[in-house]
Amino acid sequence: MSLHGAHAPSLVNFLLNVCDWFERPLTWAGVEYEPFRALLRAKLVLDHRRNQKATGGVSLVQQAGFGMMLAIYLLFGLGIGGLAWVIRDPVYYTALAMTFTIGALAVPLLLDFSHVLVDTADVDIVAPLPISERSFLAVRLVHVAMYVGVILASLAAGPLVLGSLAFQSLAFFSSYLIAVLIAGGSTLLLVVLLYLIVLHSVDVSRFQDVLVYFQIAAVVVVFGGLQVGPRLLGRFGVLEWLEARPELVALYPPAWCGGLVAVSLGDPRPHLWLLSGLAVLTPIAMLAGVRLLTRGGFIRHLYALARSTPTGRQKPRSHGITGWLAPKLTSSPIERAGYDFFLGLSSTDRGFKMRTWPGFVMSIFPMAGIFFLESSWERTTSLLPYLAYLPVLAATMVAGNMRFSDHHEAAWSTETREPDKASAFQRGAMKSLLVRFFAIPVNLIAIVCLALAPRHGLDVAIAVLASTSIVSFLVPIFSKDRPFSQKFSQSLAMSNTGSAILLMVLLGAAIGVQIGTGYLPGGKLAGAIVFASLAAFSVTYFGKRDLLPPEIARSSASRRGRRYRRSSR
Amino acid sequence: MNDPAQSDLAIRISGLKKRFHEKRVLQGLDLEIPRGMVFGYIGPNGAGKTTTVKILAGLDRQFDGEVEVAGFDVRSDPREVKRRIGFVAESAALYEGLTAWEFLELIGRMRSLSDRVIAHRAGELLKLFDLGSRAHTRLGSFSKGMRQKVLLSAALLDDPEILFLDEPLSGLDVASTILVKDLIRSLANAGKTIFYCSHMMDVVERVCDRIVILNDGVVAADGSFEELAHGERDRSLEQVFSSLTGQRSQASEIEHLLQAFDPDQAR
Repeated sequence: MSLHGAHAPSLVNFLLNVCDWFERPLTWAGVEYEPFRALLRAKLVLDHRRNQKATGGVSLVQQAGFGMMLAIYLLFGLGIGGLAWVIRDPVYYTALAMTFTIGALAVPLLLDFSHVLVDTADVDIVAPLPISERSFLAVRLVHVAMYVGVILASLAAGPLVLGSLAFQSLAFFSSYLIAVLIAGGSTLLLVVLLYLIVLHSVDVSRFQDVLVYFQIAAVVVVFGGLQVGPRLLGRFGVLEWLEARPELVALYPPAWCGGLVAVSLGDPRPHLWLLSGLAVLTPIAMLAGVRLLTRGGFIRHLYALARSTPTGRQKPRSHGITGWLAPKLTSSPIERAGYDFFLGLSSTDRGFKMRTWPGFVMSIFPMAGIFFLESSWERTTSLLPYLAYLPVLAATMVAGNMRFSDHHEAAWSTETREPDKASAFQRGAMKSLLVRFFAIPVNLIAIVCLALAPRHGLDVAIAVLASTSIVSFLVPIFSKDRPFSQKFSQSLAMSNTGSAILLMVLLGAAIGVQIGTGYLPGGKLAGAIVFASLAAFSVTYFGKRDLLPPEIARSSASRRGRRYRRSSR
Repeated sequence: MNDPAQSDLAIRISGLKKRFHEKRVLQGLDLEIPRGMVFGYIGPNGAGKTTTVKILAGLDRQFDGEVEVAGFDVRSDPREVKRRIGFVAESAALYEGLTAWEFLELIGRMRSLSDRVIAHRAGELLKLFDLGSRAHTRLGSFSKGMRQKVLLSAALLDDPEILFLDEPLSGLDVASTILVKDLIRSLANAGKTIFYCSHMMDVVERVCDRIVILNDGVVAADGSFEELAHGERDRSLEQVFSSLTGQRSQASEIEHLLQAFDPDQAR
């Protein structure tokens, strides 16, 4: 079977056929098209097979995972589209829609696709081959751009259709489409530029650390900015001040696309032409920047990055209270090994930090910001539902890390040939995780927030999300016939996945109830309980079949195997 | 102007220095390796062997000195160098989700080979390395030795002028080891240059025309095995290596260690 034959997945062939349309511009940009296409195809096939590998086939949930994300974006897009009947100025409407588009696109680019751009794993394969650095970078860019394109399409569908109806103009459709392409391309290029600048300016051995802090800061700015920005503008009368000086809107990049759309709708104001020009020129300037920076050698930097290892004596790290608690919480050297492993990991592992800190920071940031801006404790407590989102984030963090722990435990038991002690190692790891991040206290805080908080649809949705997390955490705990450590691990994983999958349904339902009744029937707590029950049912129903993480499925299979061997003796 | 590709020398190294932070890995290396030679490059761990190979293969361009491979400067013409070489690293990565055939096909396309050439050569190489029946199995399920064979096949796919082998026999079984040794000799007879890094002294002794022993980033000895052994018939390369690199017998330390593990003494 050939990678390039008829057996290649049809989606891969489709994406490559789309890519073929751009052969000329890519060749013009200095990309060697044949090697580029071969490597891109291999990467797409690998993506496809990686999904298969996880569960032995492309499962419903894996398809649903990406599909659900797109559906959520589609829903958000429809919401933004509906605003076209409220905000009648095409400049402001498009600026708002583009703010959302850029923000929604920047987050997955920074968090989920950064590893595709600066992944060092396959540098050993590519570096000895006579492929140009530009072609190699192009593979990575196009690889990410394909995912970005799908996300962008689902985000833009709502505003495109509803906006065209609201403004009753086909020109809106075509100009908004161009604006989306410009905004999406610029966001992608901006992220790439930022990575390239970091790659060029920082010692490669520090690159990963810098990247983590940079990503955390970016997430905080995106999420926190959306929360704090409008209040900041309102408090200092910035909006009124800006209304008197419309040309200053040029300082706000999403408004450039607004200018483009307004010009296409026939608005003759001169400052809009300036905005349109900026919208068109920005991606061109960014592309030039990327070309300039890649002259220094993209592969060379990545290769150095892959080879970089910390040198010299490493200072022993202090773990404060978590380290102090270690001897008190662990009862055997094996447990202590698991405990220490995770403690060390939390200080050094990039993935661990990324799964952990942005969530905590971005939830607390708007709370603190609004408190200081409005100097009002009452207003701040009204935002407590945002804090209720913490358990979802905590569950995401813990679940992600527990999966890592499963892999590590398997490797550990294989290496030591003591699989009978693996559960003790796992137990130590979990204790470390719990002490490190206080996952359960955070869930308790969320319950308190739930009782205090919901005032409108969005708050209810967030609170329900928190309750989903809690319920889906509890369901497997009460299941029978498996050790506590496995139940716990499954709980955490389901708490994360279940919440994510139910997000769209619950958000839609909460908004629907809000629109229909103004308030939830029977009071806020009763409404939350109804949604929590729905969540419990859904998570239990789906969880038994598809949400079971593969590693737990594997351990379940080996447990059955052991039982079978015992019974057959 | 002379065509660099027509140079008599396969490799020319002049004053090569490389340092990692405070550690000086290579301290002014000078080497000239003619075409068609099997060149053995040995040394203790940390002597700078792998660093040298990576520089020669155009993977590391941060060094002092001059390095030419196949007549091209590795710093200014790394792509010309890479077009003319094959490289097998000791523990190189593979795309584990691809099959052996798909991986070779990818490498062939990246080297701009035609489909017909790729199909013919990949088929022959996989058959030679006894992987014909596993050609369509994913690399993730391959043993270390099988992966090494795939890497060797990938390195040979483009019929390189110069082949860099860094511990190529790592993980190979006896039959495959014999095959690779025969292959190396045959390639040299066909005019290829083999730069062979290894800790397997007996193989180096038998296969290589010229041997360089590297110690602490400098050349400790350079010549054929007979020259290094000073004509002493019963002297092995291992003994020459030990005397030149200051490796001494550690029998007494081993004895001491075994005593420490003695259960009677532990009580």
